[in-house]
Amino acid sequence: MLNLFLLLTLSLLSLLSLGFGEAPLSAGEVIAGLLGTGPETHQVIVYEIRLPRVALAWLVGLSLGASGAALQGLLRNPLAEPGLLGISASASLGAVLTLYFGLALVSPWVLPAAAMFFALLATLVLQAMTRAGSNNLTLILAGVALSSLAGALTSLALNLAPNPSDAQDIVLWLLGSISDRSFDDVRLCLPFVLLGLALLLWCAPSLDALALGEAEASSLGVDLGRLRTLVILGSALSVGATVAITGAIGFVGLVVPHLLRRFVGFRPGSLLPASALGGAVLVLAADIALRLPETGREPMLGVVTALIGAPFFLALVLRSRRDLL
Amino acid sequence: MSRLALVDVAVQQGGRALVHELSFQVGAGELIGLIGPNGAGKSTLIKAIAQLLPYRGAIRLHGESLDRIPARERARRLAYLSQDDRVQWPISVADLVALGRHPYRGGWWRGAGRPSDADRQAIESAMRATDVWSLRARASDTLSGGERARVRLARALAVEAPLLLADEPVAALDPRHQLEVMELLRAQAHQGASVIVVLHDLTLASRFCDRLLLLHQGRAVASGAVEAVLSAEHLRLAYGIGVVMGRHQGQNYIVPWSCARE
Repeated sequence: MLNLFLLLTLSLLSLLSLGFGEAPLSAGEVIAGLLGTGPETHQVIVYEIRLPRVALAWLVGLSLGASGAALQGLLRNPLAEPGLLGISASASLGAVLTLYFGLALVSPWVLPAAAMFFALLATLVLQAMTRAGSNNLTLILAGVALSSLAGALTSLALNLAPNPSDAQDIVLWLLGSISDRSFDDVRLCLPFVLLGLALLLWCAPSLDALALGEAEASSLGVDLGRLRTLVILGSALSVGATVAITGAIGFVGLVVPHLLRRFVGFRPGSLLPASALGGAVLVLAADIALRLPETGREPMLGVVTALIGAPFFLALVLRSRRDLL
Repeated sequence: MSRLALVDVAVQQGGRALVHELSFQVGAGELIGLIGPNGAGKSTLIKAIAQLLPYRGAIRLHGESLDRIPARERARRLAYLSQDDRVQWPISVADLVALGRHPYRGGWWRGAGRPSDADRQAIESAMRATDVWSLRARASDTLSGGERARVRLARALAVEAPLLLADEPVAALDPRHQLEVMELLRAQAHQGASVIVVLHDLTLASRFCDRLLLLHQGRAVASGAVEAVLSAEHLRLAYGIGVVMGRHQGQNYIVPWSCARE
């Protein structure tokens, strides 16, 4: 029921987003454009300019929402989110390095490839740390250390940037955006996102059992080592791939699972698909909201998701502290 | 043939031996009490049986080495109730008990997984046996300690495993609930399950268990018939206490009375 509602909201927001812009289109015109029955200009606007943006909003939101829910379930910690493990920060570092060394100008593929490579590197480090028979706390600590390291190196790049325009490029990229992206970008991250999401959804039943604690979950046949690997890998693939295209978009992975948890009876497994869809709704809504004021210059998506998400989150915390326990 | 057989089971952690070579057998329909002072190795042993800790030696269920049975299959034959009674999320009582059916669940493509009729039956009968059916819509974080203990027991019973391992299931309970839980475990054994329960209360151990295993520093001080194990001498040796023993309605009671002096 909830998933159906979220999917419906997502579809409506998508239509809204496709019709919204300098050349406003009605819902009918958008659908005609999508089906290829409308005038050619409409088809171009819908397909080549606006659809990549909507598709990326979906992918970013699905990735962040799903991995946030999976990580909170795995670590049994309501503060967990993709940023916590240092995957986003590492991907950002990879992207920033290409900007710093001017490599991003060589080919449009260099920046996302570097970001994904660094996300993968972070994943391998995390995996190595957890394979040594260690526990969730080691994983969290390793993640915190990784993200601090990546953050520090990113700051260093900013610090040493030879000219101000490089520094500005870096800052803008760090703020996260899905505007001015093409289908090439979508194609680049789509396989990784789908694979990552599949891995995460596969974990859903095991995450339910983990509510009983690691020992009892294990006695119910949950392979904790494999579960950890799947969640880390799924998060790294989906989030790493989207960060590579869009830059860091914060808060979605943290806030969406919290918003939806009560509606799925607090079951970590059922939360996964709901949170994925919810993440897409939030990102898409934020992307529409940031285009509303006619200021000539759009605020960055990462800023808007935090601006929408943070007050929501605070209100939630104030109203009921139960689901944070 | 006994249902569960432990042969020279030893557990080490960080170079320290927690359980020394220990052999023991449990038959079908038996309720075995695992007793001994703190740090004697009771929880360690029960975790080893549940395959949660590495061990040396052999632990066989129906003659099959437990560590060779695939995890999922093993989870249907062995239910484990840990000492840790925290439930991370305030999921409903019904959902919590339903987790006992996890080993029977289909693959991920079935998503939230509609429970089968067998699942529903197992869940309901486990909840009725533990008298938590009326709590099924409650959130697990609103339960009292006694309610939570019974709900968690229902979760373990829902597995319908022939072997039930319970680590101090009555530790946090008031006297009435302690008796209720012990009667429940007794009833499980009557219905054919093999039950191993870690206990601190010597009177409960004496009254409800078929046989006892008394551990001290990772070794069996005594094992076997209840009255033989619970001798004043054994209890002084293992716990360092003097006890008062008596009989009431044909059953023994044991009250810890004094700290034994060397």
